[in-house]
Amino acid sequence: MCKKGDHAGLARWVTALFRRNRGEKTGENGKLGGRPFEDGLDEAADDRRPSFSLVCEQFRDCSDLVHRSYPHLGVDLLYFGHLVGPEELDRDVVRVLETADPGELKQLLKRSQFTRVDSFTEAVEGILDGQAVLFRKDGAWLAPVSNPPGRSVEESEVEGSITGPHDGFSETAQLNVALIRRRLKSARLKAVRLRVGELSHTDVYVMYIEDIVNAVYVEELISRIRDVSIEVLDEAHELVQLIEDRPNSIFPQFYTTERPDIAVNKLSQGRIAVIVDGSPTVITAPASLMEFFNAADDYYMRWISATGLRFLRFIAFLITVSFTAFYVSITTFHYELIPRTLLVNLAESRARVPFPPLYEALFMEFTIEMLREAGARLPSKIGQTIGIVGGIVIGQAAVQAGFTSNILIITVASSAIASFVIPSYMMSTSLRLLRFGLIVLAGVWGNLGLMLGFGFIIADLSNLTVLKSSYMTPLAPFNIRDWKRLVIRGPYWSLKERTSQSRTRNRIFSKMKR
Amino acid sequence: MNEKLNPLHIGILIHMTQMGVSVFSLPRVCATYIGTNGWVWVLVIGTVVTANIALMHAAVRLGGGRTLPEMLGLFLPKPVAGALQLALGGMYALSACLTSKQYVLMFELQSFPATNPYVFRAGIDVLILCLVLIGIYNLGKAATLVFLATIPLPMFYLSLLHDVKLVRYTPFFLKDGGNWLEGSFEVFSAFLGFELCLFLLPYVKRGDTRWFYGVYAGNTFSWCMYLALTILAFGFFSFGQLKDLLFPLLEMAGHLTLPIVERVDTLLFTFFFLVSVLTATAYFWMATELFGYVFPGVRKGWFAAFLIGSTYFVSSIPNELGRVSAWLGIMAKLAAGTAIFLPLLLIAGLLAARAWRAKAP
Repeated sequence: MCKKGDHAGLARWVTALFRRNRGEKTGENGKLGGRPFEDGLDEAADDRRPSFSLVCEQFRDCSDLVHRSYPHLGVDLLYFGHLVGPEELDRDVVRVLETADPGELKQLLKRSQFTRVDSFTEAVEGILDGQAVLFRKDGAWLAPVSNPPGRSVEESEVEGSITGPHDGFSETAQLNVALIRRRLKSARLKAVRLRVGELSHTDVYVMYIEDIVNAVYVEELISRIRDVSIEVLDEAHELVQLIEDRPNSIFPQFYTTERPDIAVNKLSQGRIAVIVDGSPTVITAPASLMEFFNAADDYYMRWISATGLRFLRFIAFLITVSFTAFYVSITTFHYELIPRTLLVNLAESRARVPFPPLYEALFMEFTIEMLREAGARLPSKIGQTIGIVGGIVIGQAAVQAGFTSNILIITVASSAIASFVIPSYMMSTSLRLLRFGLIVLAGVWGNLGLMLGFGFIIADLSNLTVLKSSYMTPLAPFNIRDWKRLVIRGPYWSLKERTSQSRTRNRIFSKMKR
Repeated sequence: MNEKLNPLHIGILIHMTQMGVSVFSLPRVCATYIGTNGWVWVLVIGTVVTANIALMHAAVRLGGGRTLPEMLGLFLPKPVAGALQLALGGMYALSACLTSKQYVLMFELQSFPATNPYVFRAGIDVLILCLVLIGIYNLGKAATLVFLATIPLPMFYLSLLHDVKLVRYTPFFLKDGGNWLEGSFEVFSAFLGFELCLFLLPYVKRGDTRWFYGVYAGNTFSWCMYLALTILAFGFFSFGQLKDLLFPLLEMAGHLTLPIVERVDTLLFTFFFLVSVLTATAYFWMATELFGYVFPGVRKGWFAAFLIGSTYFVSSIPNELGRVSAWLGIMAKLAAGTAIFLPLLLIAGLLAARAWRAKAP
């Protein structure tokens, strides 16, 4: 058993752990090899020798399976046409087989691109992975010609950047691993491959930097992923909900990103990155609440500007959560808080509205949320129309009809804009939902209700952990040294240490002097 | 990864437990019972409280890593120790409930004169239950968050410095006061909450001897804050005014005006809600721990629910602020007596047990 903080040989240990628990064979470079048939479709076939007829029987009624025959060599070739790369197949397999003499085939199959498979399972698994399988009477060989269709590297639509790199993760896990490896050219960057989903057999890569990461976190994360028992895993956000500490909390507990530069930044801080095949989102863990208010651009801008922007986001957080609720509270119960100069305007504005502030605010917030949801789901051209219609309805018609007051429009619009200032979409969505709870509490119990709501939020946040580390660090437990990385964006000469949440023994991040 | 409380969080926990609505009336108490320049009494009682904490420190050190019930069990028969713990637990639970009720009634006085306070209290009790259930380590985190959110608020008072007149600090000390013993108890009760330190031992890192300095630091912080606010109030109001005002510090905040908020006192008192809730939670947590020690087989969550539920009904008997304050005064005296005599009992008992063991063959 690896001790806490013992980083040496971590990859070997993690791989061994995985092997031991699954009884699997280990492949090269820390990758995990053979995969048992967990779906129970044909478990008995595991030990059988791979043969063309058995594999064909396994894939019966699979019309997309391609079969090529080379009678002069006694070779049959099986593969899924859409999972292999046509060029790779032609170069490495077809041309070789077409030009080969029966006598020299045995020598050709000893080439490095062909791997002999000893079990039926490996052959089936190879085909499903997009490899081509050659069958002869005396055995079967895999040819790695996999090149499944996928999106190329494009900019992320969710996480934009003004000054930073513009490449984003795509749905292909191996491409995502490559995007990280390109930026971290170190043999200490490890990528452990796991498989999740009894039907989907989705590849999940757990990446970390040996000697920087805390082994306990890796052990915990791999153990949780291994314990996932689900038929199909589609997306990284789905995996997050299956492995987080408290699934019933409203707050997202794992940081997710579509940007390789952020993933690399997190890895260098001693975090773990989890890549799920089929998802452009990469999970990083452990995370703290403060990380959800940090953006990639923070590290590319001058530190004073970046710190200013961070404070803008914290203020946006307060506005989006409490501004409308505060409006409801003061216009329902606490008129004494309003400055006299504003009181007349507010009274005039409210005079024409027949509803109590609670209903007025809920009506407007629901309208804004419906517009946002409609805009998010519709094509961009129609989405613009929705925006214009919504703007007119909300901005003018609702006020003229006496449905709402002008000041509420400003309040609701400010809250909505503030929610989009928060870089993490998941966090922004959670906060928008929290807002409704606070509005109701403020409408019923005024400022006391608002504080009660904040009390529940604080209770929840204090109780939250990510991989059993505090979600509220560096606020609670209070750690002032982490503030310069997570709360403000300190100048680079001051960012000498990794954050305490990483619990790394290798805390020195930078040796720069001022 | 079982995390343990560190001295900083212990300090914050102690400070947040000590802070309560009694701080708003502290200058009046000093003026009414102690007299002119009564703020000096905060200095005196603060010293007494520090000495009291030192006694608790000595008791904990004598206990040699034993928890409170283990220490009691060394020199008291089990039924007596159990009964004592249950009585202490009941007292802490009732004090906690009355504290939250006092806050609600004060808030009702300010903003909701026509609303039934029982519904408010039910909502607050649910929040307190949630906070008790998350445990003392996470409660420490919640206290830190509330501390960070509320610590800038006393700074508002600094803007009133220009209204402080030196002439109000008369050259006469402790004149025109009342019953100074009663006043001393009331000032002492504003510091209550430090007895939490007797319960923290199982939640600090084993072998850590520095954790108790957090208790001293937290208490010193509360002490400094009480002293600063009381001195400010004595310079802001005349001696006669201080005697008449129910909550002088709230009245002071009423003189503050900001361009965007008219009545800062209401806002300040609203923010104080979470501080008040934390005080009540810490007391309920202590009560739950004591009950848990006596009945180790029962889950502590059940005790928390039982104590919060039962004290909700008991504390419904006093139905207006004056009566609640009177009940709270009695509970505060009991708690103050306990805070003083419990460590003395522990020290005496532990020394006697040690001597008895040394004599035993």
